[in-house]
Amino acid sequence: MNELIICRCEEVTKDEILEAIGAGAISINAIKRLTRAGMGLCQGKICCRLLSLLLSDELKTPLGELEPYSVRPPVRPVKFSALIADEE
Amino acid sequence: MEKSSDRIVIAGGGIIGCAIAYYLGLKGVKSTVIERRDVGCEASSAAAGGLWPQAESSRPGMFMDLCLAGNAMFEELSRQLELDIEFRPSGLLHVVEDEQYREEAEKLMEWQLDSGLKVDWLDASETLKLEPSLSEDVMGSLYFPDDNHLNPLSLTRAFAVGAKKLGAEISTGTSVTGIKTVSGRVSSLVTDRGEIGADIIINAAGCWAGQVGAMVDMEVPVEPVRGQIILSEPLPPLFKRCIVTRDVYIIQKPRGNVVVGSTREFVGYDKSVTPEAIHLLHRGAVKAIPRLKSVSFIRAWAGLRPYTPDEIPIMGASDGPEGFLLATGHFRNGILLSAITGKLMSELITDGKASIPLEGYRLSRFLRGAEVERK
Repeated sequence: MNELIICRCEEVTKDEILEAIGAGAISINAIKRLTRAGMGLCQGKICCRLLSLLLSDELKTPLGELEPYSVRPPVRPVKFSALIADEE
Repeated sequence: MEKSSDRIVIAGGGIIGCAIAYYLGLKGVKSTVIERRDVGCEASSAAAGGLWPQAESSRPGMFMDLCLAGNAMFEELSRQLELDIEFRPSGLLHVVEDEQYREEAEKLMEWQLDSGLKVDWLDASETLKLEPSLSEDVMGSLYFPDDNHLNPLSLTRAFAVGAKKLGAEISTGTSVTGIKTVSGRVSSLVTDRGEIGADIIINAAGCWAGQVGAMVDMEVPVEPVRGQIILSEPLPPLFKRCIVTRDVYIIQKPRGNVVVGSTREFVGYDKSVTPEAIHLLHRGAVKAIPRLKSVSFIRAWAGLRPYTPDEIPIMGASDGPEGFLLATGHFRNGILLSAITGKLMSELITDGKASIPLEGYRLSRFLRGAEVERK
């Protein structure tokens, strides 16, 4: 049992990440879809590096050869009002 | 049609391919799913999970009936599947903001009531009573109590996990590169990781169905249509029903995040997110629910939905090699139609006949000269 939290926003543990990789996830994007790791408030800014390392270890694949993580805009959370400010 | 020795290979591990493998598994039939990248990584994960046969339809008929039959399966399916698919019998409010739109809404309501469906017109005060966070500018709304939502990622995964338990094999990271035939019958599917003997091949490749079809010299008129979606930070419950306006749809998911979608763009295989679309979605959302103005949005993403010229999927037998079937082109209805497609395709394969006729969904309707009618 490894209850170490890897993604703090969505509270995903190391066990759950390893299970996803065991189930066939071959990219961080796949881990994200399987476990929600990286889908929370920080959008993977904190856990993305840890996820890459775990995946690289498990798949015995160098970091540089993994499918790049899809970073979704915005880079920081933005208020809805900021996006329509020009209409105010 | 199917013999117990038949080897069934499904090209495409999206929600449609996984659902077919699951329903075949329920009938005790094993299959192999070949997926280029990961399960559900394209259109299946670029959806909000709306199950809206009524609010999104424009007329009665064959396709409407299929959507209703598909929708009716989810309540039981949410108990049957091992994973939580976050099915919520929420209902939907189709918000009406002006007089012209109201006339369209009245027509929609009229034929749906004639078809025996549940739909109700709510005036402004009734609408606001049901969903107080809506803008007070609302003129009224159509209330569809049977249009619901679920989590499309969880549903895709649940079909995949269920299928595997029932004996299916799912090969991710494997690309289909060719199809071999022997005297007019499919004989194997060639991938970048080897060749798989096949008696039945199902083209469930979504936006890539054209490429798979070309391997047997078949023209499959599916093209990608981009849809962009935004997601808010998790919020306390703000509204319960799915909200649809002329511009956007808005759903608050069980974790509290609000999803706003979506666009409809013919831009080829381009999954980028654009500032214009993000702006449009925010404006539409804040217009409908003013309190969203002070909320943070945390993610925007885009996916490609498999569009066909009449916006109706292509399913069933083809006029190509014997054993080559199609289940693709579900456009914006892939989540809603996933279960019914899986069920009907599994019936077609095992019994030779689907319990809802699939003739109207055949590829041959697009042959030159055939009249293409929009849904």
